This record gives sequence, C-alpha cells and structure tokens, in this order.
Amino acid sequence: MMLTESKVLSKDEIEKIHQASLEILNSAGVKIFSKRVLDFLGNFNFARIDKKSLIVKFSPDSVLDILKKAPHHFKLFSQDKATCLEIGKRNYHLINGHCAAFYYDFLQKKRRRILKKEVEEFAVLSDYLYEISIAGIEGLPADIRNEKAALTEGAGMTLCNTSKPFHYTPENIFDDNSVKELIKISTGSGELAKKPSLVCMVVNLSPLAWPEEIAEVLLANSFEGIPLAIMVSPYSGVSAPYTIAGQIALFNAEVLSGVLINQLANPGCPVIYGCSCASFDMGLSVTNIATPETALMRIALAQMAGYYGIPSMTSAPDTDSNCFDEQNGWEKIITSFTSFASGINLILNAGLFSTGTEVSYSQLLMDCEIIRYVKRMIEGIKVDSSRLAVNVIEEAGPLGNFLLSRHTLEYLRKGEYLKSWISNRHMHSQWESRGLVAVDEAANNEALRILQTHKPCIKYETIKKIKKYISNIKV
Amino acid sequence: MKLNLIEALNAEEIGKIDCLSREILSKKGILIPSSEVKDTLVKKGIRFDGFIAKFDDKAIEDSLNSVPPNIKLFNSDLSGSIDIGKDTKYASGHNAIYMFDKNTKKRIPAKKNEVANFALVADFLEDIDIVGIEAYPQDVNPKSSILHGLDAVLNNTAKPVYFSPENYIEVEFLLKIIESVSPDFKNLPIGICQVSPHSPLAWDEVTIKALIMLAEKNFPVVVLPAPFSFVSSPITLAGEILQSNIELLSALVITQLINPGTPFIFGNAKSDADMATGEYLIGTPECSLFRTASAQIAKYYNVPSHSIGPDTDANQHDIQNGFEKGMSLAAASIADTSIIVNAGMFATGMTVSYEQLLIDAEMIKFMKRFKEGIDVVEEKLAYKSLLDVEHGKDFIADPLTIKYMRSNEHVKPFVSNRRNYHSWIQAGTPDISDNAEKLAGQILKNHRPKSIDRSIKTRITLIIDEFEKKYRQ
Repeated sequence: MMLTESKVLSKDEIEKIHQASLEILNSAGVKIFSKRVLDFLGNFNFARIDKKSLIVKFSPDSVLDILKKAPHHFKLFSQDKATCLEIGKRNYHLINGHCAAFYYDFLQKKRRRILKKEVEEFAVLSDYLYEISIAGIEGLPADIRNEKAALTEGAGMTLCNTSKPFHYTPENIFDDNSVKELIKISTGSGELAKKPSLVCMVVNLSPLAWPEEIAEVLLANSFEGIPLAIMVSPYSGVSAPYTIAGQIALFNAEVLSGVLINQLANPGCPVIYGCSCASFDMGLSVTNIATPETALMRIALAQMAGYYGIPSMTSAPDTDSNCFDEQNGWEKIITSFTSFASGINLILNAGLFSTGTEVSYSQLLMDCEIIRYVKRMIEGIKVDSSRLAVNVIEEAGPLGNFLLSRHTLEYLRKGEYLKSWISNRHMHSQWESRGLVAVDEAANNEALRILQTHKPCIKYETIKKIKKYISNIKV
Repeated sequence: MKLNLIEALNAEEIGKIDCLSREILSKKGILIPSSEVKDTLVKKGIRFDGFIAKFDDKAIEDSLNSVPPNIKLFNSDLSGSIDIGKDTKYASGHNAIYMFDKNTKKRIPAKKNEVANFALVADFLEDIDIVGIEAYPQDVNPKSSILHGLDAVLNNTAKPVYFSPENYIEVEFLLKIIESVSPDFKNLPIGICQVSPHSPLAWDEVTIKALIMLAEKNFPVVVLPAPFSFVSSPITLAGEILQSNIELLSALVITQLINPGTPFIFGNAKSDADMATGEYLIGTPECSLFRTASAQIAKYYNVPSHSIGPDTDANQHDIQNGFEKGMSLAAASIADTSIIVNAGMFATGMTVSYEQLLIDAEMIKFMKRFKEGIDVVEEKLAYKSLLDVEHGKDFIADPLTIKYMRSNEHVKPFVSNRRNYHSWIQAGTPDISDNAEKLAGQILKNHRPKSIDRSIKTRITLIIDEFEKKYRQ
C-alpha cells in the first residue's frame, strides 16, 4: 500500500486551531494597507472595517461557507497547453527556485550575485528535469538595467527557456502586470484564467497584515480568476508566538484572511493554502527554515489545508546549511518528506540552500534526486500474489539464488527499485579508483552536460516577443 | 498530538505475510545442517526431514505467547536501565573495518584504541542509549578481534552494549566477558547479541549453535535476516519481507523452545544489489520502506523490533550521506522501531568516524523532537499574545516567548549550522563535519566515563588470552 499520511494534529486539535483562528480574525482582525481592498470588503456585512486603523475583522459566521467555494483541485497547463498538472488530491509537485539573490560558483567555490545567464540556465535545467513540474524564477539577476525590473526580467528569461507551468511571486503591481503580459506572449493567448499556465504567489506581512500592493495584486488576480497561492511566513518568537501551536493558529488565520478575500472576489477561483514554515534562533538572531519544528508545522499545514479542502503548498526541500554537507542532505529530505508524506501538493525551493538565499546547479539536481527518493518512499510496498513470490522462494529453497529467476527478470524493469541518478553507489574502493567524486561534483557535472545538450522547445517568435517586451519595459 | 506512526503495510497485508510464513515453515521448512542441533530440536518436538526443520502452527503460537514484549536492559554497573520495546532506542554502530580521515578522504584500518574512543564518545552522547563495538579492531589478533572490541567498549562506558559475533565460539567467550562484568547477567542483562540466518531459508551450523547458546543463557538476541534483493531473496519487496519473516519465526521458535521467555528482537538489515554494479546498498528508499514494514510486523507479533540505521552508501560526509541517513532514520523511527543500530557508520557500514557519530546523534536528537509532535493546549495556542500583538510587529517581548525560550519547544542543535551566511564566513565556513570533529576532540579530551574495576579488567584480559591460546591460528 502507499505509505500512510503523516499527521500531527488530532481532529479536536484541528478544530481548536480553526476556532482560535476564527477568534483571531474576529477580535484582532487583519490590517490591510490598501484602501481599494478595504472598500471592496466593505461590501460584505461580515467584514467589519475600521478605516482609521485599516483593520478588518471577520465575523466567524460565514467563514466556512465562503471557504467551501474554493475548489478542492484544479488544472495547471504548460505554456503551450500541451500538457497539464492536477493541483490537489494526492498529487505532488516540485517547483524550482525562487528569487534567490546569490549563485554558488562551483569552480570558484564561493557565492556571488546571480546573473542573467545563470537564471536562463536554471530554466533550461528545470525544463529538462522530469521532477520539476512548475518552473520558477530561480534567482533575481543582478546584471540588468533596472533592479526594479529584476522579477520581470527573470520571468522573461525563464519563459524563453521552458514551457512548463510558471510560478512567480510579485512584490508589487508592476511585477504582477508585467509577468502576466509575458505569460500572454508565452501562451499566445490573452486569456490567463482559462486553462491557466501560471500560479501567482502572494506573501503577507506577519503578524496579521497585508502590504498595500500585495493586497491589491491578490484582489486583482482573484477577479481575473488566476490561480493564487496565499503564502504566509511567520517566524516563531518574532512575527509569530514562540509556541508551535500559536504559530499554527496565526498562520491559519493569515491564510484564511487571504482565501476569504480571494473567494469573496471570485467564488470558485483556484487558490492554494500556503505557508513557508520558519522559526527564529533567539541566540543567533537568525531565521531558520529546516528545523524539526518547521517539519512539524508543514504536517500541520497539510492537515489544516485538508480540513478546508484546499490544495496546499510549502517551501521545501529546505536547508539552513551554507554548504553541501550532511546537514544539507538531512534537512532537505526531512522537509520534503514531511511535506509530501503529509499530503502537501506543491513544494517550492528546489535548487536553494543557505536558508533560501543561494542557488546552485548541483543543488537543483540533488534536490531532484531527493524528491525521487521521497516519491519512491511514498509509493510504499505493493503486496500481491506475484510480488509475495511464494513459488519463487520455494523453488529457490534453502541457500538458493534468485539471480537467474524469471521472477527477477520480470520485475527488474518494473520500477520495484528506484535507479540512482547522481548518488554514489560504488563501494569505497571503486569510488576511490573513480577519483573520489563527491555527489555535489557529480551533480554539477551532470548539470553541465544537460546545459550542453538540452534545447527547450520554445518558438523563436515567442522568444523574440518576450525579449522585445523586456527591452521596452519602463519602471 | 504526537506524530502518528508511518505504515507501509495494511493489516490485511500483514495478515497475509503471517499466514504464508506459517504455511512455508510448516511445509517447506528451514535448513539446519547440524546433527547436534537437530537432536536437540527433535527432542523439543520439531519435525525434521533430513536437515530441514519444519515448524507447525502450535510451536509458533506457543513461542509468540512466551516471548517477552519488552526487555529491560541494564547498565554494566547496574546504575540504570532502559526498556527495549516501549519506545525507540538508538545504538552506535558495530563491526565496521575502517576509520575515515576526512581531510584526505582516505580510510584506514580501525585500531583498538579508536574503538575505545568511539565507546567513550557514545558514552557521552545522551541520545545514544546502547553502545556497539563500532569497529573490529584491526591491530589485534584477527580471530579475537571482537573480544578486544568488547574489552575496549566495556572499559569506556557503563551503557548497555551491542555486539554481533559470527559463531558460537565467539559467543561463548563474549558471554564470559559479560559475566565477568555482570555475574547475574542472566537476570540482569547488560547487552544484546545479534546473529543472522543464512538467507534464503537456512542457518549455518556455527550461528544456529550461537543462537541456542544465547537462548540457554537467557541473553537478549536480535535475529537479523539480511536478505540481499534478487541474490539471496526475491527481487520484490513483498517477497523479501515474507522470506525474512519465515527466517525470523524459525529463530523465534528455536529460542523459545530452548528457553521460554528468551528476550528476542525481530531484526532487519535488508540490502539491495545495485542493478548496474551489483554492489551492496543499504541507503536506498526500498531499504527504508523495509525498515517501516519490519517494525510493523514485529508490532503485529508484539515482539520488540530492530533495524539498521541511520545508514548511507555515501563514502564521505556529503549531501547523499545526509539525505540517505535522514530517510533511513525517519523510516525506522517514525515506524516506532524498538532499537535502531548503526550510528557513526557510513560507506555501507564499512567505515566509521567520530564526526559521523556526532552528526548521527544530532539527527537522532532531532528525530526524537520530531516524534514528540505538537502540543496544542490553551496556553500554547497563544490566543492572548495574538490578540495583544500589534499588526506587523513582533513577539520578542511576549511573556510566552520568554517562558518557552529555554524549553524543548524548539530543540537546539550541537553540531548543525544555524548561522546566517555572513557569520558562517566569519566562523571560517565550517561544515557540519568540521563542527562535529571539533566537538569530538573536546569530548575525547574531557569526558571521563565510569571505569570498571581493575580486577575485572584483568579477568577480561585473561579470557581473551584463553581464547587466543585455545584458537591459535
């Protein structure tokens, strides 16, 4: 059977958190720094608005009814509409990136600002990598004319090199509008909501606030019917209570506030319940995203999203390690395993390390290898008469050998065992004779090979139009 | 609530595996190529067809009724005890051959003083409950290497010990050493001994005699089938689980017939053969699934379980090492395996390092925290804090932050990096193995474990001498 889903909250606890979040929305409310959004919410009786403090409080009565209008699952299409993904149910997807500032230069063994060439190459790799379902902008390029257009330029570079569905996180209305124009070019269609090829992620300000332009992007895209990921990111002890239960009650209230705005604007609009789970190290004054507690929060997130019947998303595979060490591997697999094993549908951060600030080609490939492991784990063990192999065991008998059995040959290519891609599977002596190659070096070599050989299928005309749009943008 | 247990088999599938195991044990049986053992078992009512022992359902049921669900394991100085079977316990590794030099990436044969050092470090680490003989010392008489290893361990820790001899002769002398430290070890066991059948469906004479000797002495035993997929077991995981279960039940019946109530642990050390290279692997996702399934089957029989882990096939301290170890530890721990053995090992269990032992101990510490789950009580829901906070501001001065800052709500690492990039650069860019190397040096310099009595040390030396004289090459 498939591996059982991980759970860390009982039904009572889920209900308790739900009620606590409703109380928070009712008593503390959320601060929305946008007059337009407050005016929109003013149309609904259950939203009580104090225009002076910019705080809107939601009465608990209708919340569940409004949330029920959000779809349990939806389809996301490639730019050419040739393929699609199901978002929701027990489907698991990996998104590369996003928006890192630094690139790890494998030859120089140090990091520096990421450049356009590398953002493009990350997109080529993402296009090639089967494990990447949705392409993100891996980093924000530094070598551009205007830093304010970094996201737009990054989006253009990505869309010129992959036709996979696209994910982006606008910081303002300009980012959002320009990326949507690029998607129109990329898909050759002015219609963004029909057969959507994009997911827009909006990130709030914890605790309990929505910045002006983000709130307006949320509202505008809701009206347009564009799939939205409501992503909150409170840090325990700083922008959230130090206790994990309190942090969950907070992030749940924050996500609900976003989903409410979204569903009030456009009932049935595809929306994703998201949280980038983080804690704060009080001693070092740093944010961490890969602690065991954040893994627990990811499971709780999956359960809360499941309670509302909304597809879910988190950041993973994640690590706070600044290099390619065991900590990196262990944190990455635990954050991604807990995400998928608990039923989270989308994870975002492939290729990143150093608490999401830095990217490397080898990390992207290693993350894909990790996801292959995780997915194989979740598939579980198939138990049927053929696989129980009673006759095979009896035929082999005591001290027998299974190497030449027909059963072995039959299952050799049936996916019972995951084939290693870049991990080492040589014993020490063989590994030594092959030059003591570390797995990150093997991954980097493979990335360079892909970059030399893989040519994404993007129409020349599309690339030309995207580049023209980018060269004409004015910030 | 606490994290729920992961499961890879449902109740019906476990029932089917149990049913088929009994059928095969009854009809096809297990090879036991020893006249002496055959005579002993025939007297206990076991049917033999040549040297094939066949076990009926009643023998299996009687054994399952007599085997203890929990085992109390004592410190060698009887200063404390742990329960095997109630929650997960973790043991340092055993039987490696090499020590790793992380600077040259070279491995070198392990020496007795290094095995002693491993025991000392394991003694210090609160997340290591049981101490294995981390490596076979390579600078002593190879025949008595395991005895020297146990000597090194007992001199450096009072924690319960774990060892895995290859034959009954080694068992005899290992138990003599155990007796010299703990004369009442039959009632107050201070260790666990591991023995393995010869897959598929057979026991070697020297190991079945070892198993019987251990049962006679009431010594806790892990029986460890080590199926090697598509070589010594079917290629399918379900078939491999079935075959392991048959071998385990045969051992269970034998121990319980010899001495009803023998402390018995269901072991697992599944390995894969790599399709391309044919090499032996233990860090794959399929091995991890097997870890979960094994724990479930042991739970079904109400017998404590064992698994190897955290494990990796990486030959150095790299990402692969981390993710394979992370997955294998999670698969065994979250399935509630009673004892997980291999901390400190890597390179498919052939190599050990002090750094690896510390890194694994940290993973174990995190895994324990992870399994504790989330405490959802009124106070921790922080309702008042959430109402009091100013929108967009912080909780730094919140009374709950101050109250829980030093609790286990957020566990603190001892070797992982939690610095941001800039302070990490200032600290000299240490990776986790650098941090672990530094800490291991401090432990080796400063930690002083409880020492065993000088007269016991002398007795152990005499036992090893006796062995070496008796079994001179």
